[in-house]
This record gives sequence, structure tokens and C-alpha cells, in this order.
Amino acid sequence: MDKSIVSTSLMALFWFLCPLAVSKVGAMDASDASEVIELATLSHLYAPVRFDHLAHSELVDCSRCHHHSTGTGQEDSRCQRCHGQEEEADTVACGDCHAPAPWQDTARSSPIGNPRYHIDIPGLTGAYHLSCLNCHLEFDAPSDCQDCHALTEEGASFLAIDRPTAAVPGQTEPPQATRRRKSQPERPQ
Amino acid sequence: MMKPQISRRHLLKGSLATSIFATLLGRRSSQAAQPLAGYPESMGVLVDLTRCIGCRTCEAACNREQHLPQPENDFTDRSIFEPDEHGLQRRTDATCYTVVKQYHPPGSAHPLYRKVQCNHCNEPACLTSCFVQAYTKTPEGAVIYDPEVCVGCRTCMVACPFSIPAFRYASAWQPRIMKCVFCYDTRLKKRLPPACVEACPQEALTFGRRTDLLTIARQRVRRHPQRYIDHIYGEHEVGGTAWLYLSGVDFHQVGLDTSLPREPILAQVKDFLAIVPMVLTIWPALFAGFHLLANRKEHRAKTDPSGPEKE
Repeated sequence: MDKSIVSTSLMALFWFLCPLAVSKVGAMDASDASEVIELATLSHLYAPVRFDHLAHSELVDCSRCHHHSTGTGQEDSRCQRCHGQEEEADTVACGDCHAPAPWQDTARSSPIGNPRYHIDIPGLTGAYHLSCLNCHLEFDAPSDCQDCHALTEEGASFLAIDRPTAAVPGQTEPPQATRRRKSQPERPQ
Repeated sequence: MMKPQISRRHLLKGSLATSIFATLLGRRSSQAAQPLAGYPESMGVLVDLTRCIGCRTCEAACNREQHLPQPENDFTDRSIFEPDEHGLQRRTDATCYTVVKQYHPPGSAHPLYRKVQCNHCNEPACLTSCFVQAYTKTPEGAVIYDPEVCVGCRTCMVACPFSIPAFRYASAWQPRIMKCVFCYDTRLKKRLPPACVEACPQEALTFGRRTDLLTIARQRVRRHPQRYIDHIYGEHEVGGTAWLYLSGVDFHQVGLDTSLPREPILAQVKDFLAIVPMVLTIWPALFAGFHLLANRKEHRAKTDPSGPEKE
């Protein structure tokens, strides 16, 4: 708990001082990266994920996750026409463009400019997983749910792990006996 | 003077003319019925099969939202993807409105997954087939079911082109159809996404107006032509469905029926169904009339007390 407060306040301090230190001279690099970021969009089911931002920033280019906002160039040729030569943006945090509830109409139409292009911005949880998991699969990094996420009690109940077997309200009959058993052999992934 | 009577010939002529007229009338009205574009503001879900990782979170969310029975194995169990002894994968049943299926298309480096649930057709076959109108297509896009009026004939189960409705055989006192209702009462009414969409960590499920989803889907295909095949499943299939699919492999390789017609199932059976009420109402009267005419003499002979033959 203390640790998270310290890291959060450090992060806040960092982001506060960052513009002063970098003084807007173009692009960010790995040295600008905050150390640890706590990702908590699914905190009702999973304990917050401590994302080692610094370590990841040394593995891949900033633009791999931050698109054009870090001013480090844009890989996607379709985005380059507008965002190719941009300097670092005022904000680089994922949650500033990726909404927590993307289905809301306000979020669906882009918060950032041209609705012709930005009609399909994933929500924050989607953006995390699409970036993180695809890369983890590509690099053979841990990719099972619980490799990154520790289940909370609520999460375990949600996934019916050790959920009390008392009948769910509104249902009187027992679960169907036709469900398959766990003992069947698992197909190699 | 003799009263003008309707002769047998006249009656036959008349009935024949009526039948022809009815047939022509029926034909004309069926031609006039254009395929509907669906409710303009109806909502839908775009399923991006290239994003699904088979985590089954959608199943867990559905189970909780719809108060379905506790599953035998928890939702992290991946052994359930294995086909059973008959080589069949799971299907939607009375205990689950949605199941994730696993596919191994040839040439694919990893298995693919598809979430199966009601596709909420624009012109649902279940609704068409139901003679007590237990089904409703709501303006929001959901196909919902009313167990109060259902008589349990299960015609909808036969009619559904996606084999979705299931029957709760296990309950002797409350048997009913069990089927995904798009979380209509709890969420869709308020324009909120169904529980499965909200739970999907990969955003393989995108909720929105169906028209917007089609635009988004086309943009994805245009931007990543190497990732997707150029087809949005559900845009036209059986008259269009609220749930739309994008895939990187042919849709039949992930278990979707690619032989379905573009027209709603209704269009295939409309002509036949138009005859049914005619047959049911006209035929009994018509043939009863024939019968009475044919046996008129006998009948009169029987009832007339002054007749020559008495028993």
C-alpha cells in the first residue's frame, strides 16, 4: 500500500517535472519513461497490474504503444500523413485517448480530431490487451490471464472458481449433467 | 316457378375462381413486401474473430448477468473446448446462452475462437415460425422471448438458422426456451452493452449502432486487408443480423454457415405460410359443402317423413 502511494506520488512528480526537464524539444525516449505504472481498469476482478514501464520501454520503441504521441515517429503509414512529423504530445497516457467505457456515444466519436479516421478507438481495457497481449504472444512472453492478473475474491467468484454451490436465485434445477468433465485431456496449445 | 338454385357446377366454378383470385392476390402482396432494412437505430455487436483469445470471460459475465446455473467446471477451464465423444463441440443449452468454441483452421498457427450466441436477426426465423408470437424484435435490436405465452412447441429451435434456442427440458414445471436476449431488460433498454461485451478484455466485441458497426468493420477491412477477409458476416445473411462478424479465415472454417441465403428465412416460407390460413379456413367449409351437396338426396330422403322409403 505504502509502495503504491510512493510510486504514484513519484509518477505525479515526474509528470509534473517532465515538461520542465524536456522543455518540448521534440521526442521522448526511454529515459523519459516512468518506472512503474499501476493498471487498474479491471480492479473489481483482478488485483491492479504493476506494469514495469521502464523495462518495457527498453525493449520496444515508444511508438509501438504510444503511436505518435511521444514524437518518436509513427510506424503506420496511414497515420504518417498527419502524424508523421509530430513532436511529443501534451499527454501520452493511454487513458487520455482510450475511454474506460468505449460504447458511450461521446467516446465512439473521437475525442481527438478527425472523425473520418478516428472512428474505431478501442476502450482502455481493449487498448491495453490488444497492445500487451499481441506483443507478448509475438515475443513468447507470458500470456495466460493469470500470468499478469492476480484474481481477487470477487474475480474468483465471477469465474465460478470456488463459487458457493448454493442455487442461484431464480433457478431451481441443478446444473445439467451433460457438461463435460475436467478430466478430459487438454489439447496442446 | 322453380327457385334458382346453385348447381354443383356453378359452385365448383365459383370456388375455382375464388381460389385463383386468392392465389393471385397472395402473390401480389408477397411481391410488394420488400426486405426490411431493420430498425434504423437498432444496436448491434461487431465480433472481431482475429481478436478473440478464448478466455471465456464473456461466458462468465453472461452466466452472472442472466442468473444461469452454476457451471460444473469454472470458467478458466479450457478442456471444455475439446469435442465430445461424438466429435461435437459445446452448444448453447438451457444452462448457457453463450459458449466459446475453438477451431483449428488448416494453415493457422494457433487455434481460433468464436463466441456463439443469438445473432438477433433483423427478420428472425424464430419469430416468424412462432404461432403464438412469443418472440419480439425490439427497436433496440434484441430478439426477446416471452415464456408466458410460449406453448413449448419448439418450432423456433427448428427454424433458427444458427441453432441457437435451447429448451429447458430439465425443469418439469417451468419448461421454456432458453436463449440470449441481448441483456435486453437489464442493459440494452438503456442503450448499455450486454454483459459479455462489457467483460471482453480484448474488445473482440464492439457494441454500437449497427450502421456504425458496419462502417467500423469496413474500415478495419480496408486498413488491414491482409488480416481480414473482405466480408462482414451478418451484414446480409438471412436478411441481416444485429451481431456482425469479421474474420481472418473463411467463415465456414470457424463454424459459421456460409450457405445461408441473403433473404430472411421468412422469404423462403412466406408463400407457403400465406396458404396455411386459407387452407385451414376455406377448405373445411368448402369440402363440407361438397359433402353435403353430394349427399343431399340421401339426407333429404332420410329426414323427409313422407318419403317412399322408411325403415
